[in-house]
Amino acid sequence: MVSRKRLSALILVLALIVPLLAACGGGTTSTATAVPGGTVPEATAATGGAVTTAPAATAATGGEATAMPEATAAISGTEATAMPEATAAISGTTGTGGGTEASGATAGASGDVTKIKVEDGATLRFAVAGNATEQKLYQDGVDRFTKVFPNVKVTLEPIPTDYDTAIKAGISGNTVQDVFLLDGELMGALGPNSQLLALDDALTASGAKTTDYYDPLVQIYQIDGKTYGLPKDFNSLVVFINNDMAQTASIDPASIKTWDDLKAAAQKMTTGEGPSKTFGMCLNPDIQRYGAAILQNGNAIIQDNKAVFNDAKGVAAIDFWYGFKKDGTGELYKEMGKGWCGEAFSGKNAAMVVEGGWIIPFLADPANGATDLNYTAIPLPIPEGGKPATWLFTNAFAANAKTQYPNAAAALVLFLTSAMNEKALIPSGLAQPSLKSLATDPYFTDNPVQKVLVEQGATGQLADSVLGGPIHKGDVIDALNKDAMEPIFLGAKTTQDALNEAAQAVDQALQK
Amino acid sequence: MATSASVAPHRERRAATLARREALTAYLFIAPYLLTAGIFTFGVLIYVFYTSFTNLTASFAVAQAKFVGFNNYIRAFQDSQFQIALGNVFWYFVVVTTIQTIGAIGLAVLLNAKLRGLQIYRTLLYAPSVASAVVLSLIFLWLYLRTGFINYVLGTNIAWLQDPRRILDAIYQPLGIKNVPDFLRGPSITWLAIMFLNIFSTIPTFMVMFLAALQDIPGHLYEAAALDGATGLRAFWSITLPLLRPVIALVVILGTIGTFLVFAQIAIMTQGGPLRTTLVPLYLIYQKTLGTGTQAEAGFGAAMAFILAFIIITITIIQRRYIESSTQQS
Repeated sequence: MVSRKRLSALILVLALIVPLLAACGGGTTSTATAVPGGTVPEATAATGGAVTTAPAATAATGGEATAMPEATAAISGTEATAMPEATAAISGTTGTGGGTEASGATAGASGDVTKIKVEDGATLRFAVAGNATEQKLYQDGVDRFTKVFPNVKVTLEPIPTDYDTAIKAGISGNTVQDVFLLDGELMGALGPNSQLLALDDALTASGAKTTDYYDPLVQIYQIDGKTYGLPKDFNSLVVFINNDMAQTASIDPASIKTWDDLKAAAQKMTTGEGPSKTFGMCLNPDIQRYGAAILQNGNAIIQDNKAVFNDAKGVAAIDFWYGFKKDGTGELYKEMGKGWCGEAFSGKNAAMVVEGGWIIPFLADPANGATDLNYTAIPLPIPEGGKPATWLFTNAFAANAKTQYPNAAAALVLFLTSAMNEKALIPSGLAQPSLKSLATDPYFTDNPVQKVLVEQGATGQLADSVLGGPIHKGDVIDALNKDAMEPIFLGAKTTQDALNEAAQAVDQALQK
Repeated sequence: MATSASVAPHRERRAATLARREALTAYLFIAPYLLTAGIFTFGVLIYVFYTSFTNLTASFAVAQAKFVGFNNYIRAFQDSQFQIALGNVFWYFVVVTTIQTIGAIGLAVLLNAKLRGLQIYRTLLYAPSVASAVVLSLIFLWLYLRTGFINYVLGTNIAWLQDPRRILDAIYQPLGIKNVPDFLRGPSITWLAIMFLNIFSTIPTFMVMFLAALQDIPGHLYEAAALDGATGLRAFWSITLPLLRPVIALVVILGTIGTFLVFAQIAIMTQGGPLRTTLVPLYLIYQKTLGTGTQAEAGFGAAMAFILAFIIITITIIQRRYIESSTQQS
């Protein structure tokens, strides 16, 4: 009988321990999901495509903003003469060495945020995502803001993981911050439900115009003519090419203009066999990569709330990208055992990758062992007779509709997306300024890779908008990737069949 | 504690107050648990049940959610993804529960033998169970790489976590059978890889249960059987297994619940891919509810969760009935 007691006791203890272990496992899941393959957080940025900035280890972000009184004066004074001063002051402290050239800039949005009458003694909570580097940049922006508005106190509240979930929880619990970073997905969740503060009054008061920003970047944050968020920056998809490999294959990266050029280049740069094979192109079966090819080929993706990407030209576009896999001149990053294409590029497993600016800090990080890698960026090649198109990704700043200090919150949003603040951030190289006027910044003449990235602002389209808009994009992208891109690149279905199936699923998702 | 009619009245009253006081003390002791469970388990459960009849999205106050009746449930049954997820988890349940129960009994019998260094074996074999599912998943993520250890040992070249080929196709294709529904084509290679991981990590836990039960079986039964000429396998079938039945029931039920609720491995290793062959209900519910990569539809997610719970309860009841009734027969 004693032994039976022992048995029961043991089972009881196990019954207690097992759920506990299970709970421990479950609890840590949410943070660990972001690192498939044990890769760096950039992998998420790359595959999700929603993060416009990626961590940079080497970016010279300094910016003590000691010369800020000048900058303040600059803002309240007339822009034409004052802005260069502000720029000089900022670039002087960032230590990028671009200070002298920067003084010639004539950048500037048309607004003057100081005209917004902020609530005296307002205190704002400001939520941001991102790693330490990004948070430092946000803090610098806040410091600049408080120099201009000394009577407003801003506390930065970083949310490094599960950002969207945290904001949604904050909204439903009425504890959300006054100002926060907003991505397309959050816009879809919050915008139509009147959870965001309309910024139109503040825009009018300051004289700033939404047309100062690239149209697609700001349109996604507008509903019925009202603006609920302002894009803080953007990133674009381009082709990154390993210079050494190009040279070995005697290819001039700048000469790659068309799909045929790209295919030929990939062919020439594919070398070796077996595990040590170097592929010409790293592939990522994501509509947020190759969907742009459909647009280049003159085929819409969704038209009149109906999927049309399975039309002949759309199929041809996806077929073009699947061709790399079929010919053996390209390989999926997962098949190479990599967390994302950036790793395949840094590991020299692929000569070319289609990525955005987030790959730059990744390559510059000594931890990734590719600091000596020389690379060039070129715009996505287009088909014969096609038109340039690429995907853009953006994040915005927005304010909580229920904030106690709507004017101060709006002022912070407008300030952070003003020419003064965005210009100060250009040297960080993390993402490109969302203001059209800053594309001519002298920084870009010295940095050809960033120049290519920023130039895409003119022809790029926002994946979030084209793929069903903020509300439907989640389901549309999910359907396109799981019903079409994955089966196509795994060779499980023909391109036409898979796209037809995806079209059905997308139509269903759009009906909801 | 029980009072009987024959006891004197005043003693009865004293006993009654004593009983009441004891009950009160008992309730006081369990009050902290009752309170937290009441709010965070049952309260939330009721709220989620209510949610499953609304069109609530993850991010907003209830005020905006409209009552939609059984729409979410109807939609769940029609939803192709939910059907795929249920099909996948069914295969998972069948394969994992079977193999892990048999494996755990086998290991327990081995470890019940009188071996030198038994304690070391027991500790070593139990180790995988102590590691969290997340840690194990991350380790296996590396082992399963195309350039990983498992391919190296087996001499194969399979991308274990990206291979959507379904195993029963190996039977259908030579026979020329085409257009078989996905569910009948069996689990994919990736799904099998994850099944292996789960079996590997849960066998030891159940092994310990069986070990405890084995040590409880009186030795004289085996001695008596040996006198009758029943040893080895015969003794195992006729004595060990029948006496293990209550523990088998427990292990199968725990295993069933565990397999239906698989989540961490999927979230970390495959996110439901490739070709949705590892999509499971819990991951789908998580995605839909919080809107990670899809539209946030908490009401729909809640409905799927309740359907899943109903399925688990049904299967568990059937298993209990079956195992209990066969115990009575023997």
